[in-house]
Amino acid sequence: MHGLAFDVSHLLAGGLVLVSLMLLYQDRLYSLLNVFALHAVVLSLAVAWQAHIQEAPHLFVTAAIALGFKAILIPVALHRMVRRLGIHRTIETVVGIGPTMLFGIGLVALSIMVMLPVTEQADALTQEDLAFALSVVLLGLLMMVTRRNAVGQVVGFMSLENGLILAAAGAKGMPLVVEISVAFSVLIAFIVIGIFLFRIRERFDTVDVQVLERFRGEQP
Amino acid sequence: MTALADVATAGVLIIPAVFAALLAIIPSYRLGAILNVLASAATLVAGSTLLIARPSASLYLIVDDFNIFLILLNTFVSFTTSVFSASYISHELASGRLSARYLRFYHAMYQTLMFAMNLALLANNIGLMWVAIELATLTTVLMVGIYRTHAALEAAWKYFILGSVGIALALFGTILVYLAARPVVGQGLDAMAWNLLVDKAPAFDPALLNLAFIFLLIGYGTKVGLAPLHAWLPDAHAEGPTPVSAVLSGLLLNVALYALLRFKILLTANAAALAPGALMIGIGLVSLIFASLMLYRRRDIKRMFAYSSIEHMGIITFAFGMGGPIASFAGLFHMAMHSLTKSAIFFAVGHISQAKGTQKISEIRGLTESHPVLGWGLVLGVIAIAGMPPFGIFMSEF
Repeated sequence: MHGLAFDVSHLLAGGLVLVSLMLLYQDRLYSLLNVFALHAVVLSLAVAWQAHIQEAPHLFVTAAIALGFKAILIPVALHRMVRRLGIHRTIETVVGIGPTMLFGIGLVALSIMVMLPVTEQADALTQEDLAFALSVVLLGLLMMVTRRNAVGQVVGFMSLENGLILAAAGAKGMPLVVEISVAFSVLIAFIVIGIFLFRIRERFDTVDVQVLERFRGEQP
Repeated sequence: MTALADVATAGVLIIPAVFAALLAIIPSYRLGAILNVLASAATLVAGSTLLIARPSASLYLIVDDFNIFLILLNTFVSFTTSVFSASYISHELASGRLSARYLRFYHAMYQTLMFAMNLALLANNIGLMWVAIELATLTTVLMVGIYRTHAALEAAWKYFILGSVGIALALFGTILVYLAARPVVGQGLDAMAWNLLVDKAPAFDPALLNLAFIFLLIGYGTKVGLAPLHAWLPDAHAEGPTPVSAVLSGLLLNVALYALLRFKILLTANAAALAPGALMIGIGLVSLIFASLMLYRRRDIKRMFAYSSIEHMGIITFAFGMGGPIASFAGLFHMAMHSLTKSAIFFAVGHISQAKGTQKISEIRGLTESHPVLGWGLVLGVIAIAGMPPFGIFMSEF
């Protein structure tokens, strides 16, 4: 039984990293949002499995929030927003897809090399979970760096938060306070982002962040 | 005595929260401004009461020698800022840059920010503290973007993205600290309480603590505005309303630094972990040098003082990095002096830029002739912030 528990959680956490890598090479906004929904589904499965094997019922709440909020509500809302704004469907990335993927793989290797020796005292499950969570966090950062489009950056940020939730769920016995607040703050963050996207649209007629860079107080 | 202490603690947290809700539903901006001042004054009274009656630490809240002085500073500067903002805001309304609806929003956000900062300072739980700092970030993002101009939106967006990434990294560090504490302190809330963590810190796994501190340094360091991650700070200061610049510079940077210092204490308590001092000295010096280079040839007056904030945060981080009783005392003293002086400067700058209708340094001239009080006030403030004697910053820098 123990072997199975370990294998499944390993599978799910690894799956999350794979979906993170998939997010990196999506070049259309709609498919990006779909893959992000998949990301959230995998996350909620992983968290639910953790809840099952740790016998921590409060983690089921976290899993439900991840499923309902991040896998359904946010992608639907973003879909609508993209449609209403009528923004270009292709995403301009700063770096090409090939180098980005190579860099992403490098980041995964790096986080495993960093986390495994450090967490030697913890049990194998926590160890793997943390290594994967760090990879998801780093991949989310990479995605925020390589996207020019505000929607793309927001999706990158949310996948980064997913990684954090995986880490929090993997840390055994972490109190509920943190998980609920993380979910809650994502909600707030999303509202803020939504308002922002609309205002950016109002003012600039584009969601391309590049245009925002035009004004600087630094130039004479 | 304990009853009084409990009331005071509750007051510091509940007064801003209640008034935030109240201000959100009051349509009149004049009444809003008055209530804002009243709420801040009441919070200041509650904060000072903590000096004489100190509650015992619970699992969520704590008052000790370190944070009590910051709470006092925080409530005091928020009170003075609310007074300043009352006059500033009516001028903004008259010049048509803000409408009454935004003002209602602004006042509610102001009290929410106070609540978040007081909670962050009082928290005895590393998770709770993180939530409070996140709340503070979100409210300031909304306040920075309140003018709805290109520049203000860009500043707010930049602040939001950098701030939330920093905060996310800090959360990862927080989780790692919990993991390090769990085998020693035991599962659950105990492993997140400061007073328990510090007692047991010598037994923690040093490797995990090291890694956690790196994440925390980068994460909260972003909020402090330390050198490689400072990019949001000048924009947010220059484009937001001036009372917000004063609160950002004088208080929020302090709160983030306070969070970082708490974790530094943990690492110092563990002999096997790497010395956090060297890292903090390094990053502090880099900020200091970078900011002093950037101070040269600034054209926007608020932007110039924003760089000066980065510089002073660098000095403070450097002082705490050196450690030892004298350096730490100097650091604390400098934190207090910087908050008071910098918020005073921003008050002067706010009135000046309203009087002159510009923020460009080259167009602000002849002030001592036209507005003698403002002009000489700014001169005094600049002399103080530059570290000349007889002012407080000279004492701590010396």
